Amino acid sequence: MEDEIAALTEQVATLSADLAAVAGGATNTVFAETYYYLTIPLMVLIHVGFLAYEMGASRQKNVLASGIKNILAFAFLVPAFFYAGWFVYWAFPTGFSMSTGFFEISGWDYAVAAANPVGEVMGPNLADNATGVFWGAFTLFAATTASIMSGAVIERIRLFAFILLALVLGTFAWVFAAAWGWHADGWLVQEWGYHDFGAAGVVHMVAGFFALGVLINLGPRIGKYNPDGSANHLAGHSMPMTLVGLMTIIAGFWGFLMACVIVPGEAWSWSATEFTSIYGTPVTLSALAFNILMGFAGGIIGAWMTTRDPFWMMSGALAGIISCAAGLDLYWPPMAFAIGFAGAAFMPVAARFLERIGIDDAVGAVTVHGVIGVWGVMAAGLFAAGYPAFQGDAGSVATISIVGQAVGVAVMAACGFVPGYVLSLLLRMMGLLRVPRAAEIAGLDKTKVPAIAYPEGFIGEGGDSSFTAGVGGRPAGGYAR
Amino acid sequence: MGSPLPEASWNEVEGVYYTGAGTSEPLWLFVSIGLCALALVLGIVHERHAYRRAELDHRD
Repeated sequence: MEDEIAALTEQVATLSADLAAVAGGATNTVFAETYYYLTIPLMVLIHVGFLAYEMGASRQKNVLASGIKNILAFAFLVPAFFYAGWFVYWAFPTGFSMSTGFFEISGWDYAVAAANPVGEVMGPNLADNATGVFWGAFTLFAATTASIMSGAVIERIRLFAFILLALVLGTFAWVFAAAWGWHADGWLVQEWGYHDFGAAGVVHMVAGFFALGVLINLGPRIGKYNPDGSANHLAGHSMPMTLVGLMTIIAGFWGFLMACVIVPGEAWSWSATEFTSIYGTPVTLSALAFNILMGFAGGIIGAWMTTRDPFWMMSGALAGIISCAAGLDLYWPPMAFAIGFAGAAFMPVAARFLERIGIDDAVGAVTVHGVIGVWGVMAAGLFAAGYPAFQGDAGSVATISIVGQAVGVAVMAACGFVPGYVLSLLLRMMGLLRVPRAAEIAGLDKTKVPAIAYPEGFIGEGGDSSFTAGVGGRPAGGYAR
Repeated sequence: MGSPLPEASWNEVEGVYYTGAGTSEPLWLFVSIGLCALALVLGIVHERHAYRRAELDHRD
């Protein structure tokens, strides 16, 4: 009898332990899945923000056309990232060979298993609680790159050309950069210690330089430059809409940066108990909270100091976060504030230079994302040198360095600029890049949109095409009084 | 500034790991406070000029 009781007690203990393991595991799996699921609607806020931002920055006659362009980029990128982008990320970290990387989470075989668009995990599957939410988060990253380019080219790009450019940027250009520099098996990480926690290079630099390549071929808006080369300021029709848009992008950014973290405790996790970066290096959400807020605040204050302009102030918020993004997991918070402040304070210098050389970037995308992205990547080399770039024993792991970050800057700039320039050049040669002059003068809404933005009119001085002295008007070519 | 880790490995790292831990905190604290103060002072100057200009314009 006593033996039977002992045996039963042991059996109950074993069953209890098994139940706890299953329940705990199931709880963690559901937590991980919910965590990434929630990053998706937060990142959609980035697109709400870009939509408002671009429409506000457009003149009244082009407002709906700008909105349609932005929305369609997002829409087309969703299936494109399903069919191709997700596969590219997993197949190409080691370069173009599609070989298996150091941690064996890359290469052709791995991509076929994890990202094959006709594979079992790319759809509802009770045995897979991760692929859909990871794919979803990455799709939103892809859509963000297209949105970054979108604002720069408003008011004169053809819709088809823009969608094609957005597809190339969002499905291939940034994805190769991410495979190489935002993946533990990526050759930039393994060989050069490249570190880019919050995708300052991988998303922002690539998109900013892609936009630069397009802008060179697209040309400036009619009326932007005078015969003597001096620039005019073409004010958008609603600065308040633009400001609210920019602040909404900041809110969405929390989702973006949240999705840069790997949740612990799953079979695909780097750690059983700790959050890590995408490289497998430790990080906490507390660290992110400190540095996102400090970078954001430093950016706003720095931009206010050098421009006094609300548009550039809010762009400074973005610039502040981008300045800190690469090392967001590592910086001491007051350092993050200073890095963000410096990047944002420098913004008008870069913007004036680009305008002076004939680049008409309607919303400062090349400045905020391209130029400040460079600062963000290099700042990690300056201020976070010496940290190991991934897990491993001392001496066997590449470390963060100025040289490694500089190599990363060159690769990111090329990943963006080359396809942006080449494809837009081809489109221009075929007469498919820019809208006809008559359409640009008349306004794109009147030309091709079956709706009126403000059917009861809109208050302003001087009519829609000469709308410079009213809402949002600034002295031509000036950024600071 | 830079990595405070005793060796180039994340093995055995627990607790503090931020850049410059144990060496440069006071420097960056003063830099960030100084930048805030500088921005505020320049902001006061800018605002004063703007109001003075408005008063002169109104007088005209």
